[in-house]
Amino acid sequence: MRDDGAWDRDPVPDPVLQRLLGRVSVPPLGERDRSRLEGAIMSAVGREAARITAPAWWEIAARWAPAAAAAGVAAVLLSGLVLFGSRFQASAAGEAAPETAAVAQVIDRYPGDAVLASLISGDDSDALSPWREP
Amino acid sequence: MSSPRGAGPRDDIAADAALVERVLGGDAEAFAPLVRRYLQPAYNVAYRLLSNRQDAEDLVQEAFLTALANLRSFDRSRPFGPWFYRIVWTRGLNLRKSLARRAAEPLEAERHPGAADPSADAERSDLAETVLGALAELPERQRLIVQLFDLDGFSGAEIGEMLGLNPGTVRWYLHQGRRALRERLAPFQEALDEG
Repeated sequence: MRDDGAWDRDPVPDPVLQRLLGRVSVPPLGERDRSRLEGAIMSAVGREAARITAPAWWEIAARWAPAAAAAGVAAVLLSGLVLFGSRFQASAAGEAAPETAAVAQVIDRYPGDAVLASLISGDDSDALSPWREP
Repeated sequence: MSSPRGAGPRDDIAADAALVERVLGGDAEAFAPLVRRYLQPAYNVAYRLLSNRQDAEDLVQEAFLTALANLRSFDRSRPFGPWFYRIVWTRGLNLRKSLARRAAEPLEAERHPGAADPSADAERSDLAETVLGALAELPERQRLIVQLFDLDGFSGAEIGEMLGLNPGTVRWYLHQGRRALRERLAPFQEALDEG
């Protein structure tokens, strides 16, 4: 029955004390009890495992995060391209069309014609202008 | 029982980590080797806390299910045992609180089988009573630490992790507990040496 009293490492086991304590110690689980308990635990584990080991929503979200981020970037780029393209087309369409020689001749021939002026200016108003003889 | 003394060799840590990995992957059967390996030490811890077989079995079962439920939080680079014993310990303390009536009950003494001689039987009975008395007089923490170290084979570090104590503090309690027991049981040392 000795004790080295050192605190930085475990003391050596004391065989005399072990024998004394062993007299009142509960013996380890017998083989039968052990098997029974093991079976009960594994049966409960089987019931719970599917629920318990199923990934949580944040784990599923984390798993799909890279793909979702890539899809988001692609969508932003695509919509940027579409917007840029439509704006380019709109500005191109807004420029005045060059007058052709034929149009110039018509205008010269019917000066002050409201209908003709309306057609050439692109005014799409449906309002009727009074007809005047040239 | 697989001896819990020491932190466990590296290959045990790797083997346990591989099993945990498989369980998390959906292979529930991979939990069985962990149950087999840690059942007996866990039962010992549970019994030391609750002093009742049935309660200890219930606690061990509950602790394994708790471990399964928290398996994702287990650091696989560390040994499984101390992490699991800590679960047994903390849940055991909670259970004991709810079974407060049991705390006042005396330790359950069970003689080892094979005592054929009636006089030897009586002597052993006296000795058992004295040992029980000496144990019961120890402060609970000292008693548990002595039992976990000297009977169940847990290391100071493992007990420290279970109880949330520094290993040096555990060794101090162990020293104190052993000293008190030796004083009380010194008269029986001769009888033990003879028998």
